[in-house]
Amino acid sequence: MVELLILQFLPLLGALIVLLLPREKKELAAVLALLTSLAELVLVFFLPEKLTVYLGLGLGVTMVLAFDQLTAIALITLSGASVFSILYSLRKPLGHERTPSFYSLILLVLFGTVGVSLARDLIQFYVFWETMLIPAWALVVNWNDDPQKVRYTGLKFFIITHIGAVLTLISILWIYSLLGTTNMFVLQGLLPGLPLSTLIAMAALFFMAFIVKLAIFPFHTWLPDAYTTSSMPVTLVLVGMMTAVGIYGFARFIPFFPREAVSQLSLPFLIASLVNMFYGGAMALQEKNVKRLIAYSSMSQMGYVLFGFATLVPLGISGSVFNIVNQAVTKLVLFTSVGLVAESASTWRIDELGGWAKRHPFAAVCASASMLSLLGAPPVLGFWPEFLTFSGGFSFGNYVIASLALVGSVLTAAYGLRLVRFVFFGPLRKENEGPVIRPSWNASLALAAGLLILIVFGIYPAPAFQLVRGALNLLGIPIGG
Amino acid sequence: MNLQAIPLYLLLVPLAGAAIVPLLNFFASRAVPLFSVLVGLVTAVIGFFLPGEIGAKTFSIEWLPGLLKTGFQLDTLSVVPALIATWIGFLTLIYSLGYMKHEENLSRYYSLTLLFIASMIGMSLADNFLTLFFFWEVMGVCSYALIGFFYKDPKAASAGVKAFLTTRIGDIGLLAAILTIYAFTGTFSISQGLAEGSKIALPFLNFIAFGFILGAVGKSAQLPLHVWLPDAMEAPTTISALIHAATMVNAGVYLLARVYPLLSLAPSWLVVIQWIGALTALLGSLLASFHNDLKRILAYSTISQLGYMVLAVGVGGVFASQFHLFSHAIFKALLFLCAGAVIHELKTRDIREMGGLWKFMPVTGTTFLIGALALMGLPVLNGFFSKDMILEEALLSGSWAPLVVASLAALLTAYYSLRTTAVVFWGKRRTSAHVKEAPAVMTGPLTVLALGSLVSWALVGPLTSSWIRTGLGAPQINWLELLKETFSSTAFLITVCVIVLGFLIFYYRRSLSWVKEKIPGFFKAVAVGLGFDIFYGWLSQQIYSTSGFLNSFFEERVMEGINKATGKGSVALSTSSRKMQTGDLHWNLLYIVIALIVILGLILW
Amino acid sequence: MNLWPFVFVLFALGIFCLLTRRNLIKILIGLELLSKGATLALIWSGILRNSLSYTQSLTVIAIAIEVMVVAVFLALVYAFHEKSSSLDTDDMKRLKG
Repeated sequence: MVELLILQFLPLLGALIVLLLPREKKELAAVLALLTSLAELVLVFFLPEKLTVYLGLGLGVTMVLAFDQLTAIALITLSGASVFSILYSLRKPLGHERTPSFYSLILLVLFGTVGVSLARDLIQFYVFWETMLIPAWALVVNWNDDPQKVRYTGLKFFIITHIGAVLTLISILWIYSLLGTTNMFVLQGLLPGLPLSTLIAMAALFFMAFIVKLAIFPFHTWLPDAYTTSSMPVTLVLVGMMTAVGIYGFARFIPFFPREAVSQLSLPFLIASLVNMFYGGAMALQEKNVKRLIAYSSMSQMGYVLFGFATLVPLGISGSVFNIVNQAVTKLVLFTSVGLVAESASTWRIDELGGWAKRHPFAAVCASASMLSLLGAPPVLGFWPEFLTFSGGFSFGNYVIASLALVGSVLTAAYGLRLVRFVFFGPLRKENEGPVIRPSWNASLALAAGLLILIVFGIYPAPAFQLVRGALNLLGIPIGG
Repeated sequence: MNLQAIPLYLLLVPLAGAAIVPLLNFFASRAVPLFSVLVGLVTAVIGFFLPGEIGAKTFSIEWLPGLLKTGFQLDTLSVVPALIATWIGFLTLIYSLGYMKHEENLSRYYSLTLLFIASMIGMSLADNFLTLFFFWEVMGVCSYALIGFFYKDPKAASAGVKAFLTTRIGDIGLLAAILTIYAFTGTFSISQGLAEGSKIALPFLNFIAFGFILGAVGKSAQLPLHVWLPDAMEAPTTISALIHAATMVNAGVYLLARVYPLLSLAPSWLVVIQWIGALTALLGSLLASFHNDLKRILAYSTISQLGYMVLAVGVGGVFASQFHLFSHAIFKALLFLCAGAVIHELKTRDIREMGGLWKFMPVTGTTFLIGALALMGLPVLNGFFSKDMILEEALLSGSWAPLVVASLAALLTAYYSLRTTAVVFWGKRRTSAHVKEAPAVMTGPLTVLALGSLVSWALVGPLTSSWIRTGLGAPQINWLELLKETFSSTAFLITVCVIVLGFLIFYYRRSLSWVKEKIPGFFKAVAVGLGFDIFYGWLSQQIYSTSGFLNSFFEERVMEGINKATGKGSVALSTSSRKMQTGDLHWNLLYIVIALIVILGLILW
Repeated sequence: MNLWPFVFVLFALGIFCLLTRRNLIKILIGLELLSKGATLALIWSGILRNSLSYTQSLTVIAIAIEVMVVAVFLALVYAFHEKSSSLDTDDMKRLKG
């Protein structure tokens, strides 16, 4: 019981302590933040399999916290991403910008996202959803690479994601007004009693927050700017933590609503995901700014995730749940390795890069591995969710849609290969010649950890898949035998 | 030694080698090549024990718990590609000791080569479609990485991308087929899938057949996805020999042979396969006859020979296709390795700069000639028997038109094999570079392979007997019977005519040069590979510009326009509402009075 | 006799003053007229209901409140006069949106 409370409030505590540090103590702030995230990550592994806690806060408000396999997957990803981002930021020469408030904000995002994963009460869910949004916005606006554009970007980011959240809130309040409770466990039994059309509308509204969070067309416009203008550690936080939470939201709530209602939404979701795959892929293909390219690739990948969920088939859903971890790891490694090169080259433009494998061999290896993971090529981690997602797509029954999704993966291959080819391969420009650059210890450690996860679990996915299977069983979606 | 686990060891040894090489490189980089050769040797030795295990199904592991069990399937069909990968891989590794001596980043090279060998073994021995697909893709990744091995060269990097992308198009076809079978039968197991596949409705069977064919077309560089193979020649020649001649490209043919039971249920697609094979054979031989880059000639030749194998499957001669696969692997690897020796010495790939090399490189020259004769299909060499068998099968199944096309291709094959040998090794010396014979570590494998080209057909006995043992149905013949059958078949006549004609064209080629003047357009088209590359280049350009347009118009104007419009809209709304705040006391009082009146009215009524 | 017309007259005069006069003191007079009208309405409804003592107490309280309103109003007017030396409402536009 206590463990869950610690899990929930540790990041908040860490954030407050870090915030109270004086401005000069940057390293201390960083280390504290790192330790907090690390502690969070480790704590997840020591919790028993299932745990539920009711926490009365007086005034008739009760918090419901619960830990199960799905939450575990999300928590591992979230704290892992947080560790990764903080680790990466340790030696960044940003000087005056890396203040304790920066780390405090990251921990607040962690607090919010952990709260989202642990929440089993709809209002609580919403509160923590908003809680993670605000520090994220603050991070984007204050730690960025493009001061002129950032106000517009930050505003766009906040408002669009907020609209999504508000629509979800409307749905929550509607549920509450009809059924009188917001406890998810209780609601699961009560919801089937409602008429079908009501349920469909409720579900459609409810998923809006996640749809916006996953940058599903046409609500994707916040993503490229937010990822591109924020500085690297912030981008890593957005990529690792926010998308993981969005995917988690889908995973938690697709089985939550009755099957008949959700199956009506299946086809629109499938079509939207196809649009994402192709549109994001097309944008990534012609993009000249490498960071923006990866951002669009993220949008395209989210299309695959939604596709997996929309099939409503156990295989497909398992692929997308697996993707919670995979997307985070793949994207983090890809962004970081390309980011290292961009730093050395002082440019993000693809036509000014090239041949950097010579000076950044380790980054080249990591970028190639994560690119392959993006494509879904073995023997790296990305193969498994991609395979599972497509299995789901073909089991779903509509071969046209499934085949279209497969064709979309060729587009992914095109821009991924192009990215690595033009950043790392080919001839190196004369002005960039020099000795091999060894990245600082923190970046290397983070990349090495990511690479290890990509390869080891790519070859032997059994432990990870067991966890996914357990999560799905819990949600009432049995897989295999 | 636990004999049951032999296939497992066969897979694990090179896999472990691939993993150890980078670590070894950290400590003792000089030891890497020798270590890799050692690993290759161990693998080859284990390979000797493999045929004995045929028929036994061994080993099972739960890869995805609850979902996926995988294991090994040992019949002749699966053993042949695995053994080719093992033995030719071993010879290639020995050859690499000399060929790659002065290159850098050797650990990457050897690690990827060992990984590749492991995946070829894994793919052919897999009893499960998912495992097959897994290793199929890993091979593609290794191929991409090895083609782009000299990554500083933009040609090599782009060739790697092209190869991966083109085969990827094929791979999604394969994946679609596998997943459709799964959707219908609920299993990924190959044997079960094939058995229950017959119950699938015809439209879906057609779809599945299409998927498998697409996968094979991509991986085996058939029409129209053949464009990656010539460009893949940017890879080190040893890789061209191993991957792009002897092993990976055969994966598509192996796949077609493996799923033939399903394909035969979709007869319209079988005809398609025949035509793809025949036309590819013709295209490949045509292009090989008129190009001047030594490796490119061999690449087109490979495409052409793979076309023969595909044709064989299409007409029902599955054994013939595998037999030719076996022969082709040996003589094509031989040809590539010889070419490697020549290129290594002369530092050029253009055959117009070669000539008269036989004096200086006798071993290479002789072995190359043997390989070329095998390619041509001269009787007594292994290529003859297998090619003849294919033509015979085509005859027996009554596919006249593909047969004619294939014979035409054989004609051209005879021509270009002789032409290439002549231009490179005979005649006047056109280069002034100092040329000496390749080192023993390179000529050794050449000799072994040449011997193989001479006698490998004799293995037909054990091959067919084990074929039958695993129920794949082909008449049992030993080498004597093979001799008798081949020389007495109708196809033999065709083969002889073709060889003679080819030789004549070669001999009188100078007097035939008037043909070039008569139809220059045709030759110009041939020089650019009949326009396939141009078409694909145009297609990708279109995709780029559409994406660019989509971005500049739609994303930047429409979507951002919506965002900005909402912003402007809210601002406009607020600006107009601000007019209510006049700041004038009297207005405020007026509002109060009006409100009062309204409330009074509401209360009183 | 019927006092309603007087109430209405007082209200009308008061509103008229509030809405049409620019001088703050004149607005105060208007406010006063309104208050007187309200008080008269209070008394008249008390007479009609025949609860004289209750009405008297309410009326006294109303007058007291009115006095406070006048006091505060005059204080504000005085402060305004100090700042801008004018008693004109047209000079009070600083809250314009």
